[in-house]
Amino acid sequence: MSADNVVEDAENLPDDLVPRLVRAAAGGDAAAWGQLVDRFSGLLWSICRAHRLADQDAADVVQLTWLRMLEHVDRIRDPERLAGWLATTCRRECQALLRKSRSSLSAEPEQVDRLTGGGSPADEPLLTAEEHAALWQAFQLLSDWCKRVLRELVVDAEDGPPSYRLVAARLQTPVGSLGPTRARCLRQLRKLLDRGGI
Amino acid sequence: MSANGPTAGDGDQPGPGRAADRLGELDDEQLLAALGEVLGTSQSPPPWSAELAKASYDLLAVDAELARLTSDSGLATAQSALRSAAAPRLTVFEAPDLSVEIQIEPGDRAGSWRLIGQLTPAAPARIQVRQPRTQPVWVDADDLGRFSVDRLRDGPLSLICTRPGLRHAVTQWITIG
Repeated sequence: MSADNVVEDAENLPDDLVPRLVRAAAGGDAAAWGQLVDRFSGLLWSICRAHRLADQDAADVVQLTWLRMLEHVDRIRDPERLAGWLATTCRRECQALLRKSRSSLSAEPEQVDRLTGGGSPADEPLLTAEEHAALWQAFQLLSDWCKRVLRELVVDAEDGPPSYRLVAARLQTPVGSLGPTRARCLRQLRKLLDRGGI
Repeated sequence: MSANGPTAGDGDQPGPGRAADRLGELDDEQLLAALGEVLGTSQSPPPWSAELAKASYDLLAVDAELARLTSDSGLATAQSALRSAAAPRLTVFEAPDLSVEIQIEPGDRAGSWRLIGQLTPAAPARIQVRQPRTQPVWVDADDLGRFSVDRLRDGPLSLICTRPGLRHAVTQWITIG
């Protein structure tokens, strides 16, 4: 049963992989840079999504984030924290872009009234960039089955959580097993979070 | 901390351990809600976004002093945007031994940008004007440290200043347009 094999490859992941890739990229190794991009593009994209940026804006922010990484690549003193650094940088660029589009809107007098209430709460993510990065990284290390289950459980979160019946049907699993599976996958997620910095 | 992105290794961010600890204190419902924010619409980035990021590696400035953005009228608040919507954007970058001031204004073609620059201390230099997906443009700063370049496109921009006998200086990336 795939649900028993909850954690995939976490044991085999060398702790110093990211720092090594960062040092290699700083030293001129384009392939190492490419691996960092492959590894963390999903994280940057999910940060942009949490700020509700449209595709083109998200792409601009992601590109600028990688350029910031590039300008700092030989100065990053703590490469173990790269995910958090990237998430923080990306979030700042998201916020800068949102501020810029708001201020260009407010330059139109008829728009000012609509904006005096400030940003809508929906624009503000619940998590800090560091928390987002930690959770994203822990989630990547879950088994495919747990990823699928948790994804189904949080999908369409805006309209409230979907019913167990619906999720069980989508996963083709008995509805009675869903509660225990959910609990087990969340426990594993907590374990992975506990290890921190993976 | 300036608005142009965090400085690497400043140590002013909570570490991943602490962020993970905070997440660990959430109950299952809260943890699922947090996960909902991280997974969002669960779309992967488009492949061209990663390709662009990989191609950016060509823009690595080897052995250059970083000139940090210290002032940017383009990062305006809503109030100053009302006052200065029509004024050219003025940005200042500072390296230990060089300051680069650039003014950005509409170029001679619709949709393009002109950049007028000033190096301090004033001295001749070669300037490489860099934008992703575009061949770099070289311009010379004159004896008074002045330079200009036109027909730049919307998007990220960075300059490398080469001065005889001195280390290159590279400006942080800004977005024009």
